Amino acid sequence: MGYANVELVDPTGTTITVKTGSLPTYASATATVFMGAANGLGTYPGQGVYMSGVNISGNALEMINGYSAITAELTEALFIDSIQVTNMGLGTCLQFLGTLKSNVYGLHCNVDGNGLILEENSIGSFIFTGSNADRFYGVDIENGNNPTSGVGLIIGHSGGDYVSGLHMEGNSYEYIAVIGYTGSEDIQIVDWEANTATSPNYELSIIYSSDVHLHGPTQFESSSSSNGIGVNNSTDVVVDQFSITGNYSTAFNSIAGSSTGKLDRVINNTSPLAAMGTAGFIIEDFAGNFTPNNIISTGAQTLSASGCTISGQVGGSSAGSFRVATTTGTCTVTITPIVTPLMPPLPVTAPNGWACDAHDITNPAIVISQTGSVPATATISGSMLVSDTITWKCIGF
Amino acid sequence: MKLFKLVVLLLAFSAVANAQSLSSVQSHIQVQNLNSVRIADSFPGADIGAQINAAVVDCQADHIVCMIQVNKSGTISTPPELPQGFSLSFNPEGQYVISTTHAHPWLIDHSATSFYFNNAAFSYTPVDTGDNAIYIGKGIHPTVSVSTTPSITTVTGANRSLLNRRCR
Repeated sequence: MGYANVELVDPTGTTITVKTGSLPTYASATATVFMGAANGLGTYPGQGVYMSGVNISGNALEMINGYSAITAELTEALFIDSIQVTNMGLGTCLQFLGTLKSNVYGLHCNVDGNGLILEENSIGSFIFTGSNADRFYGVDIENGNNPTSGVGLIIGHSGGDYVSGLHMEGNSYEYIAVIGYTGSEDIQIVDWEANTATSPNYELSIIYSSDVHLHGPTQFESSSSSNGIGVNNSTDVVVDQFSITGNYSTAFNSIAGSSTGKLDRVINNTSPLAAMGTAGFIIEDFAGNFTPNNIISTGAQTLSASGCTISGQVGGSSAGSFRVATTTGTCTVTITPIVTPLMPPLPVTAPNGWACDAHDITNPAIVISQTGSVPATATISGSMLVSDTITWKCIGF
Repeated sequence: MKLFKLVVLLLAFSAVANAQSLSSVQSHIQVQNLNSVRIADSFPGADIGAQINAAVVDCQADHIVCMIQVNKSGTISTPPELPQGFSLSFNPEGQYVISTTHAHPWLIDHSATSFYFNNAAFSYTPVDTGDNAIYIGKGIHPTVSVSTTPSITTVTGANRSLLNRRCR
């Protein structure tokens, strides 16, 4: 308790004595508390706690939230070798709250509450620390069922953690995984399938975080979720070697505030092809190695016209066709590529602009030119005639 | 020569005695203490947790660090308390019910302790929000009171002297 007037800390009691007459004049004085070796369960003195072969089951009927099979709080250098938690009605399989530098080998969660949680400490009246530099080797989170409020994996207010060999399957949760307010998290996924996040949530949501790296090689397959991976207000998120499959309507989406991320060797194998909104993300290897049979433009289409009116718009965000309904002169159409909206529609911002071309397929002799290009929009213009059908496409650069 | 015969006779007698001793070895030996190993089953207590704690007290009386072994199945309603350096091991074929309470949870609150659960089946049913089958940490919930007297008092929370309890 770090107020400057502390005179005595009772080593065996609970009272801190302050010099007479000094503190009471500061009724709202700020006290600074430091976590020392004696406050937490750590390596000094002695060593961490070791546990092996943990096997805890519930009765599947527990309807009390906020409990866990195992909680470690303000603990350092915990070592758990093999832990499985099954058949719990609610609650959490394993939670670390302000737990540092711990290692867990072989975690298996099959519970209806939450799977694995890494968060700040909740006791002690003060936030001492998040759960930092913890390592998990081999994590199965399976068959959890809590679509109202359950999450398979939560990493929040923590940093520098490492998960290797994450297997997430058959869960029905509000979110399958949420990584929020964190930095430098590294998660290697070996299998992600048959999960259902409560609509319209993303299965894997990364919010207000930086340097989150998600690695495969893995499939990332939807069961009945609408949305795959959503990144919101985060920077330097890397998704590497994912094959996204299943029935998502949006496979990946970077939402407001996200930037400077990277998709590397991410293959969109969804059917029908799900939207990939990648604003602010560098897509590596798509250009060189992504070789689909066809590229189909999907997503909402936003066109506005001047000098004419248009109708019969079909196609997707960056390619389609329209018909000229009326003209009053040169017809100019502004194209604003839009990702499939789960949030309010947001324009895709290309790094520099859009290269577009358009053709009058009713009167091919009519030339339509691109007359504008900025990161958010492009314009095409020509002396099109009423009832002409125009096809167009744009590629961001 | 007489001395030699005496030595031979003594050796022969000793061999016969050892043979008789070996023939009387029991197939099962039930002991409470085996050096630094304590068998919790043999100590008094209303439940397995209490028996574990009784075994710990026995070790502390001898000023040694122990491995506490639990062989039988049963209920753990008294929170086991392992001091630093102690180990606890359960029977892999055992079945255990954790029925500690919200007020007295199973706290693992001392460093350098080892728990070998050995995949034995533990069942747990919480009764209150915030319950944990096992809580690792000090579990201190201090509430600080700044009074008009020259002191700051933690109204609730553990006594600091309990932290990192060692073998005494």
